[in-house]
Amino acid sequence: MGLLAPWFLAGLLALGLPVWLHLLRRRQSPPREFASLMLFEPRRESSVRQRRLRYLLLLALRCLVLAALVLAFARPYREVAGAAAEGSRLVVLALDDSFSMRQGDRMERARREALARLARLTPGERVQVIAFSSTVRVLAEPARDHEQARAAIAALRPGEGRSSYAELARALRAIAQAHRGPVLAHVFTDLQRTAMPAAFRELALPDEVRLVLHPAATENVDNWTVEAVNVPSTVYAQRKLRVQATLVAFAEKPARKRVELVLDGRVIESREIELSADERSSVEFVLPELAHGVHRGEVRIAPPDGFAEDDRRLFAIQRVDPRPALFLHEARDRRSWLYFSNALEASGLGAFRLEEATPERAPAIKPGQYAFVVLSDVAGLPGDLARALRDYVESGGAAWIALGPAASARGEISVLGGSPASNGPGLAAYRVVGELETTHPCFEGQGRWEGVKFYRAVAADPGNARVLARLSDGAPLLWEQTMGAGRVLVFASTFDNIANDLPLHAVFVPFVERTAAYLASLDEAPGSLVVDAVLPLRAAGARGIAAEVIGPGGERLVSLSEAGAAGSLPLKRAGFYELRRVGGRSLTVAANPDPRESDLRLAADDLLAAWRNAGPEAQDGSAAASERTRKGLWQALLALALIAALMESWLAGRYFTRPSEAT
Amino acid sequence: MMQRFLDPAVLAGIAGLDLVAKTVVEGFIAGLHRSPDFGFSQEFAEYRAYAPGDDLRYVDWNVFARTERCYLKRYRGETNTALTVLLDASASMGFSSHRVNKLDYARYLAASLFYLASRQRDAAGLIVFDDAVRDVVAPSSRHGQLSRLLHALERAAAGRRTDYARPFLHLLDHLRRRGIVAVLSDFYAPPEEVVRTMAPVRFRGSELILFHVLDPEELRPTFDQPLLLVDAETRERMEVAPEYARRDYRARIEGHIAQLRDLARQAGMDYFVVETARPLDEALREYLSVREGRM
Repeated sequence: MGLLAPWFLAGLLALGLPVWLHLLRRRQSPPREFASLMLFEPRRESSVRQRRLRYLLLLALRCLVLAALVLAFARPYREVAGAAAEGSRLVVLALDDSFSMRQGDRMERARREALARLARLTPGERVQVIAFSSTVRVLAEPARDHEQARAAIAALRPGEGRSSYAELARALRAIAQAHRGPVLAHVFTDLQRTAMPAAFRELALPDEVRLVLHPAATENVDNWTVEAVNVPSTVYAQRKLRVQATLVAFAEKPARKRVELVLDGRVIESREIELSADERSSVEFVLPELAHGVHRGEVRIAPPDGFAEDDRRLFAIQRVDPRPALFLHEARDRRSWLYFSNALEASGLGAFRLEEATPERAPAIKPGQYAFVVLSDVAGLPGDLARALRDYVESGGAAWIALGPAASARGEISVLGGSPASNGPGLAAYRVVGELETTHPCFEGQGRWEGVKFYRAVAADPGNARVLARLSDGAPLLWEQTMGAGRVLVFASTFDNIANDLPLHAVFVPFVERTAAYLASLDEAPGSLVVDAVLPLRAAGARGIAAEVIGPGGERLVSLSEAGAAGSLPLKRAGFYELRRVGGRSLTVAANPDPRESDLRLAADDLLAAWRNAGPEAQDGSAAASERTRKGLWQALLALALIAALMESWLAGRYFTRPSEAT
Repeated sequence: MMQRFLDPAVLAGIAGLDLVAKTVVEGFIAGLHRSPDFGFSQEFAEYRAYAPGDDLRYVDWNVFARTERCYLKRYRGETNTALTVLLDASASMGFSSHRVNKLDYARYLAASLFYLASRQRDAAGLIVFDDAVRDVVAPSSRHGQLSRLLHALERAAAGRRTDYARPFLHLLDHLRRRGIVAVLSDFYAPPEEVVRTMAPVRFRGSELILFHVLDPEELRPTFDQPLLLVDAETRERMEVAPEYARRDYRARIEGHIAQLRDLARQAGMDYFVVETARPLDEALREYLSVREGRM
């Protein structure tokens, strides 16, 4: 027996109310005149006793109504053992198949205990089997036939995902809601501390769910792992690269480890380092000059420790040539080219080879070969080039249009169409940046824009375009518009240090670099992801371009029907994934287990006890304790209160209503 | 139809005791259907020799012509007697559980008796008492006596406690001729004491009728919950259980009535329980039967 809301017992003080009323009623009994009391006997004591007896019954009923209501609100429960609860009970066997279950015999132990638990259940009892890591999968639907559950448990193998008890709790809540009855959840897990959510409330379970934890690991295990490898996914120039690896010791004692950098199956460099207890250490390697193409590498700890599967971290790196980009400007405007090209070169990105051109020699240009095209205040374009540019953008290309006096005089925005209204105020007044969408990739990692003065800005209607920056008077400064599969950025000023002083400010270089990278889609996928992360298959809006993914085992992960429609693919296994796009570059991505899975230390006992919401007797997971389930009593108490109220009403009617006819 | 007017609840709606008495008696007589037992017509009863002082109007001159002796011709209705009503006006007589309390009912009954006596040219008198004699109208058959009696009845109001000794001493002091004495009371006193107090009247040759006036609630209490009762005369308070009132009290009141009846009969008195919820004709019938016995 127990109470879920014992503070409601304070309501028992209300029992004083009927007692007080009964005492008051006694004092207020009105005397009645009678002709003579000569023939009455002064049986005062028996009379009062009689009245007390009858009134006590009424009082008892009234007190019973109040007490039953108060107790019902206190939500009492009793624990029902085994057979009494088995009729409507659903037993859920939840097995942890996260990456950490690969350590030692954890998975085998969990399977063994789950099968033993299944064998101890009453034949015909409903059983459901689920596996959980970062997501929950149903291995066997609720059924009274235990054979399917047994087969599902026996066939379960550890995955490479990260365990999350919050996800498990969410699934158990959903199961309890669907089942509408008591649920006994046996959880077989290694009780990793990193599986606990940040907020304990995410572990909350409804009253119907009884949780029994079966630890697959009973003590902390020292472990060392490579937490991260910092290396660019793409290199464009012929130069040496530094590879920085972060190693973590989830151990209570320091250790000396050998760390190796392996590239394409060949050990490039090896280092001996001292790893302090429970600390991180960095190791830096230098990669030799890479040949063109994709290279698969890893940083690993040798010799392997007690959890060999997490001793390495994969990475992919590819060497490609810089991509050409076109900068179109009027012949007289050399300043824009000067500032823009120097800013892109100074950024150190090295991903682009910027080419300049003027509209006069434009007919020879084929836009399709460029990563992006900049139209710097171009007065007009030859008709063929304008059409070619529009086709180029609609097929997935990118253009950056800067508007200045020439574009304003022409009265039309190249490629996009539409007319700029005016060239803005004169030199006497200037404006600054008023609003900035700092989360946009164009503005990531940049300094302050407050000091930049805009003397002239072309007023134009962005229409439905996404405005990324506005001037202090609300006029749009930078906006993005999609055309087909491509995108166009419109800058309502110039790069020439005349209409504004932006090229002279520090933000100009990162602004040009980030915008160029954004237009060329250089940030689509990093070289390394964690398992369960999502790999984007194509750029936003590039629907219809087929993509193919080759998994770590060489298998195709995207079917033909999904190839043109799927936008992303979750990475379920560790290894290298190759993304091939039609008409685009291939991309190789390494997927590694979440480094938090390498922390094999157990969660705190008090936290687990709080989650179980059970007394110490349940800690050992013994059969007797685990087979008990809570049964609420508030419904019975409410029924009792109702019956007592009806009896009180009937009895009060008899007490206080005078018979209509004397007997 | 006239029986309806004997219902006390109906009589309570009639203003004036004279009208009440007339209504009761006329209705009662109309219902008798010329009963041979109770003749009120001028039926011949006896001849009696003339004595000095007799009224010459009743001399049978035909007999005198034949026999030269003076005889008085007497009829049944002309057997004069004196009726004295002793009306208990103590506080307990003011009790009622319905529209008519015991004192009102006793007044209706007394007024009816007076009216009846007046019709028969009987002398009638009244003594109103509680623990003392409150009002006295000496027996008389003179014109206007009925009005005096009814007026005295009107004045009677529930007073204090009951004491039978004083009114009966007064009665004995003033009782000059034999007649009928009707006592209208609830007799809340030990039966031995009541009979012992009243027996001297019987010794003087008068008939004594005890009308025991009781309310239905006194005969059959209907308490359904414990009550704090207050004695109307002594103001004593007593908490009474309903079970006791229904069971033990009823036995005691029935025992009280039975003892009073037995003692009264042993002393040559007539005893009659009058329930205030019932018509008055039964009480009138009782009176007439007693009067009949006196002729």
